[in-house]
Amino acid sequence: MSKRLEALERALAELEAEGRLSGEQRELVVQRLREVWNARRVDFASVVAAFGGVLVAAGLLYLVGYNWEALGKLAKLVLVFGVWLGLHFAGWRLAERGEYPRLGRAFTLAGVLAFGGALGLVAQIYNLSSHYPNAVLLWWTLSIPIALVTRSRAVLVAVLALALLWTAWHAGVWLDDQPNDRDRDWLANFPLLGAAWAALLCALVALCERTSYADFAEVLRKPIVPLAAAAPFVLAFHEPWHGQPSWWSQASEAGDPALSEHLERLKPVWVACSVAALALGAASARTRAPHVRIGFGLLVATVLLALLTLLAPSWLPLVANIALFGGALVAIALATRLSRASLASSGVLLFLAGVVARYFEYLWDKLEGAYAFLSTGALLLGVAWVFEQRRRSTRARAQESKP
Amino acid sequence: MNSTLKFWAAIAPSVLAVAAIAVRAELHLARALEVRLEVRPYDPMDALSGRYIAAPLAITTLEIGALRNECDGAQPGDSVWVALEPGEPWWTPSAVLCAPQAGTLALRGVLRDRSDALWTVDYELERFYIPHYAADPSAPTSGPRPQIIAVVRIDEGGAGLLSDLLIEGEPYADWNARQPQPGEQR
Repeated sequence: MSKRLEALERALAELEAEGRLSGEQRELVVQRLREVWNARRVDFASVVAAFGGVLVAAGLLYLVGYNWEALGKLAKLVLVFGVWLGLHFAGWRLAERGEYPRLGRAFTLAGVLAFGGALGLVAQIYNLSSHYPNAVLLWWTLSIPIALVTRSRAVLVAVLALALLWTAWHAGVWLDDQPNDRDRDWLANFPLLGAAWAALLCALVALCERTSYADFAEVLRKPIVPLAAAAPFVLAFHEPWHGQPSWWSQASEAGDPALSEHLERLKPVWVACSVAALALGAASARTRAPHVRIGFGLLVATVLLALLTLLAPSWLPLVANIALFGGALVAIALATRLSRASLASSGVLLFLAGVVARYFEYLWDKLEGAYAFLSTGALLLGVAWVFEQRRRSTRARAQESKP
Repeated sequence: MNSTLKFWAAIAPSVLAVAAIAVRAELHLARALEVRLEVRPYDPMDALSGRYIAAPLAITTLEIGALRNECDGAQPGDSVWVALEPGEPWWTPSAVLCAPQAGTLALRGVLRDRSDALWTVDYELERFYIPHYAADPSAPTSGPRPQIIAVVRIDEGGAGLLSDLLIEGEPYADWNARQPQPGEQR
């Protein structure tokens, strides 16, 4: 039993000994606590079964990749289709009967991963190639119904990982195709895409919460902070944007504003933001959950950073730093409101990562760095003092109001 | 909807997608016209499908001044059709079109880059998959690189499918069977 659960049970026993809780009530609370604890515990059988499923799928992909010349086209198709569908069928039967649900889900996960092998095999047999990663697009989109029907969180993790991989890959190919390919376009597009994805995940979390897919919200919530933090963290570095002229100064010099050309450089970000906005719109029509508001906040911040990247790049590091440290504090504030310890830890980690990054960035320009650290530190100490004062006065009022 | 039906409904799109790709490719191979094109190959690896010979066609780079250009306004990202004329040992480009034309055999591609003299066109025909331990004609262990020709089947719309590689005029499988076996090589 966990030490935390033991401590809770001891506290309940003390309350019973003090006469503030009946034995029956204590039993009920302990029973409920154990249920909740067991539901959240990492299940060893599930993990082992999932590892087994991943290994089977990896083996199948290797088999496809080996391109065994002893097997003809039809034999290869029968073998891979047979194994792929067999994995799905076994997964469904084992889970459906309720006797081996964990093993069943592991087979389903292997089946979803083996779908990539089936696509790879068909590409291999017919020598198909594609400029954009369309096979990965098919892989994750066509696996969504399987995740929804089986309600498997492991399958959802696979779908999410493939979707993120496809997004980055597709954007990379698109950027590679652009004439006058610039490093700054790569630097801006990827983190901002991550932030737009975080807004989309917020919408999906809100859509899943309080439905029969509530378990999915747990999985979808996890990548939000790292994805959202990537944009301000990466864009907060001064070097790539130092001395970059603003769009309007370029426009007045060249006589040609070409705003559409500037906007075109972040096309993947605009597409991702549009998808996130639609999803958030759908979520807000259904619920007013905090994740909808967080998602809209992220979306606005992403669009603001994207516009600054294009129109006033020299201001970008300043705004990104404010977003980074402000975001960390907002995460900690939300953690206290939503009672999520992991969110508080993420906020603290983000804050520390920002400080470490700025420390090393200013290593060769210590005076400027000293000003930045001293002023920001003083500001935060001042904010903490104001909060402390407010808490003291609230406590004093509460004391005075006691009879 | 009962659970059995739900399960099959969830699997069906994946199965249909893979089957559709295979059926489309088979129909293409059965119906399309065969041409032979010069290849400038190398040998990479794909995480899902394994080892392949990257077979960039020589007509990927077009000397635009030497061709009849009926699609001068094309920009990178636009589809273009490259008309081909029969020849020995391979077919050669004769014109660049904006759309397929009846009676003209043209291969569809996407314009990736253009300068005054050269256009780069991507036909998405770059991969010829080979077994893991098969011989690689793009990097011979001894002697000069053999002549490599892509056998491409082109349908009425101009879509191409790479059906074989000819190594010194011989189908790849036959050429590979005559090469030293893995034990002898490694």
